[in-house]
Amino acid sequence: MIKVNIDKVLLDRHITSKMLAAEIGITPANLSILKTGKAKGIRFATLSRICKVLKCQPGDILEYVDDSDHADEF
Amino acid sequence: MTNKRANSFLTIIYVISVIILASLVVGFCTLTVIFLIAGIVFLVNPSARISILKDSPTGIGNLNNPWGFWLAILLILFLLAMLVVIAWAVSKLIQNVRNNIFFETSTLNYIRCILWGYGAIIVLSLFGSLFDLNISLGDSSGAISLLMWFAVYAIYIMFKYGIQLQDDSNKIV
Repeated sequence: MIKVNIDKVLLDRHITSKMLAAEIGITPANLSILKTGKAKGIRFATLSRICKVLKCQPGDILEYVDDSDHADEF
Repeated sequence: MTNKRANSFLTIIYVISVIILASLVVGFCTLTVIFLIAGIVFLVNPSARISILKDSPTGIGNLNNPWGFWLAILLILFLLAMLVVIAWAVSKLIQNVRNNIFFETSTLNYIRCILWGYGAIIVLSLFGSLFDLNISLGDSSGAISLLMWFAVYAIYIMFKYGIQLQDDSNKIV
């Protein structure tokens, strides 16, 4: 599964979730879905805006974790 | 996607709708042949005209006017043709849903056929009552109600799938 490590990057950049949501143009609720791992996917446009605001690469916020014990959703 | 139980039920209603379609086609062809023969006799044999008008089939009513009689026959044949179209569209719609073909142009076309067919039946029935033709579908009205129920069930299955898609879409940030 793909794990979203956005909290760590937010902490390093001293940016709150609310500020990030406002900058990238999504609701705090949607950003929360992403942070808590409930998102089924992310649009490239959204990922691009996150990376632009946080000045990072997609690999800095997305991490592949081998999840062999749970059923594969896709 | 449809589960096993829904799929089994879809198979059953598909078979029933195909049987209804087949019987409607047979009925339509039979009535067409009967009315054609009656028409030929009516034209060829003047003495038979009165008895043809008097012994009119059930559903047309008591008509003395030959033009009204033939108009009623045409209306009945057209209504039956619309029933055949509806039955065909419903069976194809159910087949699509069984094969998990939901939001495609073909499915929309079948729903459109059902709407047009049933709309034509309503309009022509009103038209018939305006001219006091007393046209009734008789036993076919039960079949059409059943077909409409099948169509609504297929649309219900499509909505279930659509809600799942919407939920997935909402979780894409």
